[in-house]
Amino acid sequence: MLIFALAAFCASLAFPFIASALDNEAVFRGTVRVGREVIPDVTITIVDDAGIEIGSVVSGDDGKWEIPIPSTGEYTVQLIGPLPDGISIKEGASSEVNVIVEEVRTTSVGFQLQAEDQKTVLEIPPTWERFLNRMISGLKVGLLVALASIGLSLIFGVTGLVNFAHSEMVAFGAVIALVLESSMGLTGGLFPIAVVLAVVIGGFLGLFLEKGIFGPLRRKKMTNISLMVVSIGLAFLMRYLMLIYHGAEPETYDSFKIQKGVSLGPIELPPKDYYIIAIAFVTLVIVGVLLQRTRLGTSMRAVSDNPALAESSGIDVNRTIMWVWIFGSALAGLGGIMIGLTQVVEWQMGEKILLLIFAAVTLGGLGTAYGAMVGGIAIGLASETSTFWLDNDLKFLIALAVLIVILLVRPQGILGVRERLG
Amino acid sequence: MVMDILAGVDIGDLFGLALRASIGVQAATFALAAVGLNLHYGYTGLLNFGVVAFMAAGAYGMAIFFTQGWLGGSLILAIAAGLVFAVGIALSIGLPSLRLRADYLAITTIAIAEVLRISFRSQRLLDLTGGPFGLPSIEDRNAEVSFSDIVTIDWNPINDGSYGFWRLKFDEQTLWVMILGWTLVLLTSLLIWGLMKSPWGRVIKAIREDEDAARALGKNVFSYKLQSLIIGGMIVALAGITRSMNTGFVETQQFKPQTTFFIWTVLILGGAASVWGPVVGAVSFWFIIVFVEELLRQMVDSGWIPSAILEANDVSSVRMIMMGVMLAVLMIWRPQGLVGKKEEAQIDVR
Repeated sequence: MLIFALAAFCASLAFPFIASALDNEAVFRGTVRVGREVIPDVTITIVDDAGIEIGSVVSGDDGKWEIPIPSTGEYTVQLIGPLPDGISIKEGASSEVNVIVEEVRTTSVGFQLQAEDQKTVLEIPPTWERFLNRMISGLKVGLLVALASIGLSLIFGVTGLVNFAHSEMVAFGAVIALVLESSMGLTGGLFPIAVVLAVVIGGFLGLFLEKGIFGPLRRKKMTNISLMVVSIGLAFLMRYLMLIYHGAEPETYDSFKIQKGVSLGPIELPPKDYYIIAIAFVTLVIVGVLLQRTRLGTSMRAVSDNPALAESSGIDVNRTIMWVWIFGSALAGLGGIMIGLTQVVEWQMGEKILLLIFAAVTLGGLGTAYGAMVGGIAIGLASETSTFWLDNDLKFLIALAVLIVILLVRPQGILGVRERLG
Repeated sequence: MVMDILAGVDIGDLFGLALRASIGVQAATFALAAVGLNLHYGYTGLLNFGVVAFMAAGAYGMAIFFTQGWLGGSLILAIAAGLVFAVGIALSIGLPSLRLRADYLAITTIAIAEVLRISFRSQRLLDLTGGPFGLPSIEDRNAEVSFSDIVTIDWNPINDGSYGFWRLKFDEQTLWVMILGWTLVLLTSLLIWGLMKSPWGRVIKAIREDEDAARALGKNVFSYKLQSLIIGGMIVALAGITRSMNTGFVETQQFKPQTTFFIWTVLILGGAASVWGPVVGAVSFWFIIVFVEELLRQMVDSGWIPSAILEANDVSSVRMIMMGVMLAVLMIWRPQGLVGKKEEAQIDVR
């Protein structure tokens, strides 16, 4: 683990950074450092292209150094040393950096250093509090993924369709809420109205997709595989319509810009996160109760188990499927709004969350609503807590790795039934 | 050849641009990738949604071996290494997941393609893959240590100059990559044609039609599927390599999942399970895309389409919408595409 951390830091230094600021003095400056640790008392020398020394300086206590240069031209910045024990020039890198100055301005020069002593690399101590906060953050992401995934799993359960457009239904909810908020002035205390309206519109989207597209195609006896390809086409249509008519810029809900963290014991979160966790949790409980206790919920589970048997026992299968689409799409919209609240609202949201949703649904077991809940929370926890050990950009990989492993080891998922494999 | 049907819209110009795109390098690489996908999906019935994984394997394998100077810096050997890498990807996708049901296989392949792309992008592999900067590295690009230069300049037998006429003028480098690309398309299509005439091809098609029946006849279905995945995967990898010879560098943005679905659209449009379907598909796909895109661009510029409906800088997004609509509409009304046979294109794979 430490070696990985070391490698990551070296990698971040691998390109000698030569950036330019906008002030009008010809100066080379930089900070001698490894990661966040600065190194004082290191001699830096600048030589021009004729080999004549322009200046020499020793880095200060903050590791910073600065050498003025006469004019534009080609210079070599040399790191003379001495470097403290355990710090060295990175393998394959050089202690000299060539810089061509084309304009009179401040030029930053860095060297590729590496620390062999791991202690200098681990800058944030892995504390119990930090781990707990990662867990809470994982729980939040997990609840939201669960919320967004239930529809996909239920729709698969009752129709057998793997709907690739589901993630666009998630994005649609978030975008509609944003449009309602800004166009109707539903900010601040009125924002919940925008949320409710967006969820209702999301439900209508589901109704439209079932009545307008997938229902008729199902009656046309198209196979589920063909319908899956149709849903991919639909996903691209929806995604790029959102790009054209909503715009490419990521936005945030005006009502919840930056909020100051509120502490609750060792946990520190912005206030909106407490609401998000509460709303997502309550919604999931309500969905569970509805599925378990109401007539419609029972028929949804019955159709999901065995459509033919459900139909022969007097359940209106098509009506049940329609309601599954409406509820699934509305829940996807709500999930999208919540995800938009924690991150940003943008047209690519769906593309970004698609595989997380698939991971959640397959982990829990395709076709079961409870599976999607369990799977979503597990995926959220796994990917967020992984950042405790791994780089941030790898957390998505954890979710995908979980997905692949689950498909290979237990493709029916945690709560799935073996017969579903066909 | 200027026909003014709509004022401000130059139909001749549109035809020229669309025709140019339909025979260009991009069309050739899409055709090549579709030939490989056709073996997977059209003939074997494998729902491979990770086409870009094979393209990335080929391109990155070649680029890594070449820029690292392994194998003595030989480009031929580096290309071979890219193909071997693609075989490795085929094995690592196929060995565990070919026993899965079709929709699970689809999800697994798309996930593996993303894993590969994100890994290549990772900071930890910066020294090997160039991370988000791609290969060759910025320094190497300036120093002209580029694999594409070897192909387009050193190996190029065509004299400098501009060839062709009207809108179909290409410089010697583009022309050479076009010739290479379409030659590969021809050779691989002939290979597929030969394979499908052989006993091996008949088994493959039998597996597509009824896996259990093929198994009952004593055929090792798993092994045949894996062979199909490997051969098709190598053809797709060649497409990735050819494309990087044209673009001059390899980076992860080129291997996003949407490329997979472009290739799916090409295959379905031309006709899955037909030898020349991928070629017909690629040529007509690029013709349609560029024609409509340019038509819209000119109509927006000349005011035929008000900016409330479409703005000039949104026109390029229309390509993605057309791809999506084409994919869905073809699937619904013409699953056999332009030249496929309907009875062979009915997908009901398990």
